[in-house]
Amino acid sequence: MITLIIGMAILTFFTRALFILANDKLRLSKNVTIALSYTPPVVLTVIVVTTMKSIAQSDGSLLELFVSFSSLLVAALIVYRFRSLFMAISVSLIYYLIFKVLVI
Amino acid sequence: MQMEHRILPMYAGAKATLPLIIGAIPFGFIYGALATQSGLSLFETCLMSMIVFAGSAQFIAVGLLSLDASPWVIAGTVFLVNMRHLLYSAWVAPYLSHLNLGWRSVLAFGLTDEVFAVVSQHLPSSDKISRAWYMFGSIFAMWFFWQCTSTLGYLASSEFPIMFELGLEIAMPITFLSMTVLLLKDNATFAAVAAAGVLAFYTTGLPYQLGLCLSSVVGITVGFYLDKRNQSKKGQTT
Repeated sequence: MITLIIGMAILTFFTRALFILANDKLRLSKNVTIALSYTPPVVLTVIVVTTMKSIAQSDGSLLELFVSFSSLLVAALIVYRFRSLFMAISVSLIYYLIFKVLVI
Repeated sequence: MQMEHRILPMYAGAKATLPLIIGAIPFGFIYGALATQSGLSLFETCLMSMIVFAGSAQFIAVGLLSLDASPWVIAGTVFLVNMRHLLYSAWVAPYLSHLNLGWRSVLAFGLTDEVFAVVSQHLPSSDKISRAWYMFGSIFAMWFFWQCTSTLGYLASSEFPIMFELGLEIAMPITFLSMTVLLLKDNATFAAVAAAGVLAFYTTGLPYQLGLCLSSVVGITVGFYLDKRNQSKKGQTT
């Protein structure tokens, strides 16, 4: 685990430092810049889908699945409408916990 | 002289970062909590926050750890996610070129999304002497609060495991989905995300979590292709 963390640190530092340490000796091509701009939303989506599929396969009742998936929908709608991550995460987690404690 | 060129810019950098720190506090807390769930020790959780210091990469790493992904898949995905930092690095580099290697290394280490958001507004209008201290102030404030919140998140969730019995495992997909919705800026991004999502659904059974990498590469390729097509269409109409 420690090796993995050190490896992550080196990879992260490399991406942040490459151009700063190269001091104008390197430039990023336009095509690479365009491709990179799609990386964060794509990777986040892939992890959401994989995690939710794993939750769907492990959780028992249909009601539990409904609460899990509807809390995601609540978060998506709030962040789309209000553009606030904090509000979306807080409200959808509260929604999820209330259902989990009171209903299930 | 020292006050004017060092302490005041450093303070100004930290102060300008404060609103972004407040926004990052829940994420630090959730990261700490998810790290407990993924089986990391307190030392490993803190070490990752201290030396990696990259919110998205840390979230993704603990997410992949909980899915039992191999270290190579985790390292590859972290690298892919962090590649956006190349853009920041390329943008910031000309403003730091007068500094020595030590200074540039320290400032490169702390070039997070939040720090970039703050310094990208300040650097073009700043003088050479104060800009390094301004950026350092921003980095130090962000780093300090990231350590505090991730440690507190870990301690709270390990002391109160009932948080997970209530289903905190849903916190990560909620957080990631919310971040994704914020990033949906045009049709090309939407198509990239949709392609990656559908493919991820059907490739989760592949060994070594290769479905994660395959879906990501296909999603990025779709986004890139549509982006280029949109640009050429715009070029034709103008």
